[in-house]
Amino acid sequence: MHWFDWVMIIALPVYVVTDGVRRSRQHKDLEGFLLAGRSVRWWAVGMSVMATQASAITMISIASHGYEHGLRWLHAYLALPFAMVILCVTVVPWFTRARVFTAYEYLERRFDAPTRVLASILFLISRGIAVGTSLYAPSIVLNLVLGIPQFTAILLMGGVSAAYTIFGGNAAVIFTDVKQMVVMFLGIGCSLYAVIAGLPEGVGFGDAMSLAGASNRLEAIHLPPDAKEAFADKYNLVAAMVGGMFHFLGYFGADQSQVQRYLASKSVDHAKASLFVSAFLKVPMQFAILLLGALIYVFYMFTPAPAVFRTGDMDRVVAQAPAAEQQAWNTLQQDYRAAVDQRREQALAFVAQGENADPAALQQANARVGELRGAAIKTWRRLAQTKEGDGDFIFPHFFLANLPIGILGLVIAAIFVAAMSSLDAQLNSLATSSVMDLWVKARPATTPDRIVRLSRWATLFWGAFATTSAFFVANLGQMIDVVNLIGAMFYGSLFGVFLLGWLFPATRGSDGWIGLASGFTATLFTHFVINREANWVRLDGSMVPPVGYFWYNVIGCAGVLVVGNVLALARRRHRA
Amino acid sequence: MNEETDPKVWRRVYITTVVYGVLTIAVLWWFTAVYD
Repeated sequence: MHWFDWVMIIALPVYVVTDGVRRSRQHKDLEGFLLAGRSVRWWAVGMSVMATQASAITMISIASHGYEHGLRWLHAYLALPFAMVILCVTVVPWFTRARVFTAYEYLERRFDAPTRVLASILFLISRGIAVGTSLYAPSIVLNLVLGIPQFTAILLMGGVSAAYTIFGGNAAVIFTDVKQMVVMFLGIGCSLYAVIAGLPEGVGFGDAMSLAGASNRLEAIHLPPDAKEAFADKYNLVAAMVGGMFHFLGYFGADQSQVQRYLASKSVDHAKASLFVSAFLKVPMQFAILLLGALIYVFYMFTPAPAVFRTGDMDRVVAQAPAAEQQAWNTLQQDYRAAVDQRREQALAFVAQGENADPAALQQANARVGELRGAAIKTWRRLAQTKEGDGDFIFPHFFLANLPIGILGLVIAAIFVAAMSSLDAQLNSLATSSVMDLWVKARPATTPDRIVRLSRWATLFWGAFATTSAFFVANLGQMIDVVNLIGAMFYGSLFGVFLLGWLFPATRGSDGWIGLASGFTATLFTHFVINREANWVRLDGSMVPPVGYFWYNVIGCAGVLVVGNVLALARRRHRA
Repeated sequence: MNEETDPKVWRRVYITTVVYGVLTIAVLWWFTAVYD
């Protein structure tokens, strides 16, 4: 790698972090450390809200998802603008005016202390599991670029993020997030430019879009033909607008990692306005990243791509395999190269035919390449004895081999800062909730200075937890799916208990925590019983669970509302 | 902290956002019809 790329990789994250910490110096007391003195303007909070949601997974996993499945993942974000309006009308003014430190304080005031503690514990579990995924994705890049073992890479990233969060608290998190987001935007823009510029002569942007469309990579809106598909398929308009809506209501309204961002706003107006940054920018940003993945798919129609994108790992396991396996792998690779050559011819013919081109031959060639790639992945899994695929390695493989000097360094720096921007907010919120909702709740006499010290220690603890859990998430699947599945299992019931408090005045006391526990149990039942492998349904040629995980949010929320109201009704009848 | 914008202004912001959300879906629908 060129020295200028190294300068970008080191200088950009160092500048972003040191500047963020410098700006946090004035915030040393309790409100300063946990909430940046409730003094931050809307645009900074808004960028931090976006940066918290956008981890390295956003860059690596979503671009790779675009390569494999096209724009379908965009469905997941379509409900975001509507969810932000609902949140600004409901939770944001209440949280900000009440001057709470955590979202779960509301639950103690509205219901009882056990409800607050249970909600906090559910948040700590969900965020504690998810935080490991934020570290795993960038460790892939460090491993590929520098040859650093993923173990060391995870320790390095976790250590840096924990260090500046311990030192600067929420102010450091927000001010680093702003710059991290700018670097991410630059990285996405430069990657898009590079992939378009890398197309062969005679194939323009319009041709690339036609090729991507003919390869089923540009389906941004999909209407499910029946109820079965609406429930089982994650990527359709119905699941997006209902399941996705509850997902975002839960994430931005009941997840402390996001609530703590807008609690740092200088006023209710600034808190509300901060959410509209995501409402307006998130869908275009995700569209750009997914389109990048789809265009990389087109790029590899003309440039030889490996059958398995974990090239180094694959070479290693093949070298250690028996001679018969090596022979079978060589044959498979030859077939794959022949299929790729055939597809290149079809793609060029498709472009030459212009507007009247028939996509059938290209689609057939795509299917043959896909079939051989599927066989290659199976070989990798068998030889490496892992469930892991290579989904998260596609985008890193592309930029390492194809980006020009300077842009490569910028994109790698963007991935590092994306990882830190998400991890710092998660560590900060995990520390705040564990100290304020659990420790201070048990020991109300704790002084503000001691709370700040405890929060720093809690950040260190969660940093260590995140690095440890990162080693265990690799086998769970593609990271973007893993992180959203974890969220969906918790967000519905967490948001449901807030909704129960706002919409149903008759509910009170233990209705909160019993409802919350019931909603969460309903989600667990759906995931582990209804969706168990024996019940999977056939959809689009593959076997999938009958309930797509975005619906878990609706099920969890409905469970809380139903049980909470039944308890309230039973109490009224008992008194009558 | 207590200085809050007129609720009518916020109402316009909410309506604009909802219209933006609907238009986004409409544009993506058109995009899918053209390219996919």
